[in-house]
Amino acid sequence: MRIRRCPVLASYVWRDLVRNPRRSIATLTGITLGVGLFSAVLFFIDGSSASMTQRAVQPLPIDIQRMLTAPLGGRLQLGQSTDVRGPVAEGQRVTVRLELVNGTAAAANEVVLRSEPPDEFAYVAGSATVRGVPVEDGLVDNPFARGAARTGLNLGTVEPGATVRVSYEVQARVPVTPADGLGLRTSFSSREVVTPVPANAPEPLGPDELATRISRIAGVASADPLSFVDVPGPAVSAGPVAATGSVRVFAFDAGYQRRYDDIDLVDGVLRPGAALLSLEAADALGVEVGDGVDLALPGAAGPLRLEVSGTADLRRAKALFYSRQGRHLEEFLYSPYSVVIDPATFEDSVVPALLASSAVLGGERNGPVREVDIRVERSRLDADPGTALEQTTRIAAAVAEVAPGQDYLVDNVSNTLTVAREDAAVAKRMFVFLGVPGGMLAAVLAGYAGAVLASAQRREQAILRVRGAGARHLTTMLAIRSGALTAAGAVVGLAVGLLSAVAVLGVEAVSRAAVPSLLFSGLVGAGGGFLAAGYALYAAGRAAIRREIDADRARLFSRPPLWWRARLDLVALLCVGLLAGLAVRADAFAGTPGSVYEARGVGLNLWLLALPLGAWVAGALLAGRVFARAVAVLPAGPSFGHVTAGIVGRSLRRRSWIAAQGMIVICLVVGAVTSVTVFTASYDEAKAADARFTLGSDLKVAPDPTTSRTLDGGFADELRTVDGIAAATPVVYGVENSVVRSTRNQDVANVAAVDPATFLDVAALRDENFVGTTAAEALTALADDPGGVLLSAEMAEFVSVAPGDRVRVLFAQGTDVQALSEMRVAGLFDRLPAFPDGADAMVNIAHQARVVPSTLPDFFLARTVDRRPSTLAAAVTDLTGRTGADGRVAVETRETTLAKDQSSLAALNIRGLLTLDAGYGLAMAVVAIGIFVFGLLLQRRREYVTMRAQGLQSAEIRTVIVAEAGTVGLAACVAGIAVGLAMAVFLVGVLRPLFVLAPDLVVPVPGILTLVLALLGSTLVSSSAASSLVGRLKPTELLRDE
Amino acid sequence: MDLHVDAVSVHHLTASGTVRALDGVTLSVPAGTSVAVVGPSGGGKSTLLGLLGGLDVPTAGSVRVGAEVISSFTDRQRAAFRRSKVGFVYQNDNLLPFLTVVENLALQRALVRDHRPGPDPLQLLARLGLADHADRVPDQLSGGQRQRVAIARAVVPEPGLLLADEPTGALDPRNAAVVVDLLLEVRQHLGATLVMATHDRTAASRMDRLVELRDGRVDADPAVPRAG
Repeated sequence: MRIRRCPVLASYVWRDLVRNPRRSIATLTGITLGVGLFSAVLFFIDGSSASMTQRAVQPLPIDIQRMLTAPLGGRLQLGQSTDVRGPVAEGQRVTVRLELVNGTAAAANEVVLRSEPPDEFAYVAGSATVRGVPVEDGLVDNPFARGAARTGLNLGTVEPGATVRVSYEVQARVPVTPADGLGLRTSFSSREVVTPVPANAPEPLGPDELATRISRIAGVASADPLSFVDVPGPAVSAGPVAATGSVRVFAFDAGYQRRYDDIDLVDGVLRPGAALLSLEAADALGVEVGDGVDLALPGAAGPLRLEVSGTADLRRAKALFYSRQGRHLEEFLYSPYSVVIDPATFEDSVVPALLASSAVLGGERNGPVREVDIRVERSRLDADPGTALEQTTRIAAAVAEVAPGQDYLVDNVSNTLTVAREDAAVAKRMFVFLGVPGGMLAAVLAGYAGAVLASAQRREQAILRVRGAGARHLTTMLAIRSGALTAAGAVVGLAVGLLSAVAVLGVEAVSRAAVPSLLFSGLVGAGGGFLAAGYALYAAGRAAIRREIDADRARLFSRPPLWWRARLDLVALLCVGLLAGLAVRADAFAGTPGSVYEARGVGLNLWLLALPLGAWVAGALLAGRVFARAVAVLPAGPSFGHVTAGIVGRSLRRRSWIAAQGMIVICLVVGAVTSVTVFTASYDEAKAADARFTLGSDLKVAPDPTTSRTLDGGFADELRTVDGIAAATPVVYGVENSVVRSTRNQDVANVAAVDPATFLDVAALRDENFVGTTAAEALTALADDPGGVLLSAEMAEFVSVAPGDRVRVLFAQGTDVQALSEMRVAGLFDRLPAFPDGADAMVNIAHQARVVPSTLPDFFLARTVDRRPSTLAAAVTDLTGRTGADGRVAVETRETTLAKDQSSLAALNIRGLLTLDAGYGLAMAVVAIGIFVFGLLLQRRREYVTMRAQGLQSAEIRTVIVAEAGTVGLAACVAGIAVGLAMAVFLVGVLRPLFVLAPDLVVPVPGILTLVLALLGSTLVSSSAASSLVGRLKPTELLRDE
Repeated sequence: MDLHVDAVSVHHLTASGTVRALDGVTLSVPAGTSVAVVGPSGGGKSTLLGLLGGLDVPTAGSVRVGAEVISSFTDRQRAAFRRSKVGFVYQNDNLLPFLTVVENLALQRALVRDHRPGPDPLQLLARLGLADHADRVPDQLSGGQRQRVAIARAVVPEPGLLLADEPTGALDPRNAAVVVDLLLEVRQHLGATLVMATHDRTAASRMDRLVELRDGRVDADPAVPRAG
């Protein structure tokens, strides 16, 4: 082929494309949809990723906290010295002296001292002493750095003001000119000071200086000191009026108040030397701005007199009231009576009083919390959680390096981003996998369109050959045609993909994505689509060029395609079966559920996605084989019978491969759409069931944490009178509220106390939640035996008991009203609804009330009369309308729980991805039918015209086309639905870790019916259009031409 | 069936303007006559046959076949006319490729819905020496065999009008002679009128009459001496 001929050939191809618009558009549409779906998935990932960091960090009230370990000043200090004054000769001994001083007001427990000489020195066996007493060291090992782990020596408790002196000797192995400190590695840690503090550490900084230094670190937006202490009530008063209950005294400045904007200033200002009162405190005391209040502090000689400079609504101030305890960081522990003062007043008046109190035996031991709250520059965090995590980790490390050893660091933002990074990584991999069918469909549709196109062009190619065109000319033209069509399809597909991603995610989300990332996705989407679709189109055409026309026609009737001959469908099916068997044996579908508490994302075995993909391809091919076999036995012979039925039957029978080819393509599309539709419905249903299970029932009602209201058991009766509520039940529950003991073991436990009869009626219990029994049987056993306890299987194993055994339960452990009760194990359960932390035991509420009479329900569960959202909304409206400001209750519903869950990273994105897949799949199904029907028309127009010449009516020809296309379409629908269901079973299995409860497969009949109707409607419309085109063909010309 | 074509014109609108495929053609053919339509390519031969067979309708003028003015027929009437009263034979056999030889004939038989007795397809094939090929699909036959099957298919409805458009165009002289013989034999057997468009002067010379079409007009209508 000479290059100079290319323009001629290109010109011919261009005219061919323009003058055969239907062929060109059909092919172009197929490619566009395929590339569109693939690109849309990639853009979708970009858009979703772009909001992942922001979405992950958005709920965090404080990014990083530095918590002072000695909030009242002073600290444990470790001094270190040696008797070296110059160079050390080989074999010379050196004495090391360590002095640990507890300068705090509290005892230091489990103090561990580590000290290790450098390699040039060896520990002198038997030389160690603590408090002047030799340490048993086995005469070999350094007791301050024992074993491979270099374990230190536990000094036990060091009382306030106490000093512990330690010494040991080292011997130089070689001559040494030591630097300061001999190069010893010495540090200590304690139960209170987890991070090892090096010897001779510098003097601790005050919170203000610490905050100032931290705020200079790049990436830190702000660093503000915050102190608070809970003072037992009545601690605040205004004249004769005192607020009952404890008071939380906060110390922060106006900058902190501005930065943490959920501190809502209602009136006045926060002014140095004055007090800002919570609304509840101001209300209880009846004070306004300008009035005075007295703050009674333990250890203080007299009350601290403060002017009220303002009032604030602190009910949403998460930064102030989120728990500082590691396991319950997201628990909102509201204290209605709060007084805010400035840091200087806190330092000058509150700290001395607390110090004085703590110094007195039996004095107030509830020390203050003093911390520096740090906000990182969130806007500068990378959109990708992984990169953002690297940024925040660097910031946290820099923060930790500022005056180390006096505190510990709580890196909330990095913890959150760790989970987000894992979720995002899993989500991205999963999206690519779920996008793979789109890419495959693009290639399949392009290949199919190419095959149809090539078949229709046989005659034109034959004419070109007659006129002197060689195989290379035809190949070049094919390459130009394939290139032009796929390039146009890729460009349009890219635009369509971007628009659909915008439609699903919104402009804002997509525009937040980094431009290089979008460009890369565009390149991969368009480039990948161009290569895959282009190759498929070219390969199909090239095969047609290589074959002689007669051989090609003969092939249609006699020679099955390669996959049939190689039995690839059966081989693939066998592989899928084997893989599924292996997965079940290895319990691979279980995956790992995500846990924010354990900083762990959802763990999915993504290799399992080979199962739905394998089932998809193998199922479609097998369906094609079955279809070809079925139509091969249709009646034939000289007895023709009904004309159109006879024509259709014989056409399908003798060209079963053509029909099967079309059927397989449509089956692939229908299978993909069905699987997505079924998975979407199953996903929605499972998430709704999860939400109800997590909440416990349809509604959960608890006292508002911002009020002091308590609810007794009688509130359940009140709930039952609420519109739409059918039943309600009280629940007593708390994390680590009890201890379960057996004769062999004991453990702290989260114990729930319920009324068995109403709990059974109201709670979202499932029989599979119980071991060897049903929910009804288990709850009935609890009702029949009030001294019975249901234990979690895990707890039962830990304390080594079985149903029927006796255990002792310490209720309300750690409180003044704790009480021990002998109980019998009435049954076991795996998990229970309503307790996201995981209940370890369940008892009869009547029994707990007998053991601990002051027991009050922590919350109530309520079941609505039906599952309609309107009923739920009506119940909430009625409930909130009944309770005034004084009697506020916190109401959660299954819908709010679901909304919370759906805002998580993976959940939101999966929903959007499924929408994309379903939309494109439906469009592809319609296009596939269109390509099939118009392909038939292109290939068979001479046949149809011959039939007209023979006397077939137009309606009969239409019937022939509709019947043949309809048979293929219907068979593809049936097979595609079956294949899609199999895919959905695997998809639901693979994505099982996304759900709390084992999801059921939900088949949305209306959705599938819509797909079937759309396909059959598309068949009817395109067949009618095709037969209309047949009517417009010029028969004399077509019948005459060779 | 006698044929009457009266001042018939067929105009096609194309991108380059109006093409006059036939321009005021008037022609009468008595029943049972064989007519050869000759002339250069593009002269209007196939268009004339299309009009006579009810495949096309004229832009102007009328076409009467026997007692029926088919130019005023609806689509449905023309289809009914074609299935029972016209037999088509083309240069390209136009057999349906997914039907066996006998099924091609059986389909045509099934299309004739007036249940009048007609030739049995298998007997017809036997008479044409194609009985052994009855269950083959057209692609398994030679060109001459396919053309004979095409003629057999045209004969199935025992039509009063046989239209043959270049039936020998793709055949060698020996097979061409066989096909013309066959057409004339069938014409005689059925008493049908035969109109054959052809470039083959030898074949044309065997017809009763010759009509020459040039640029859509009847250029000459000379009587031709019978061959032999």
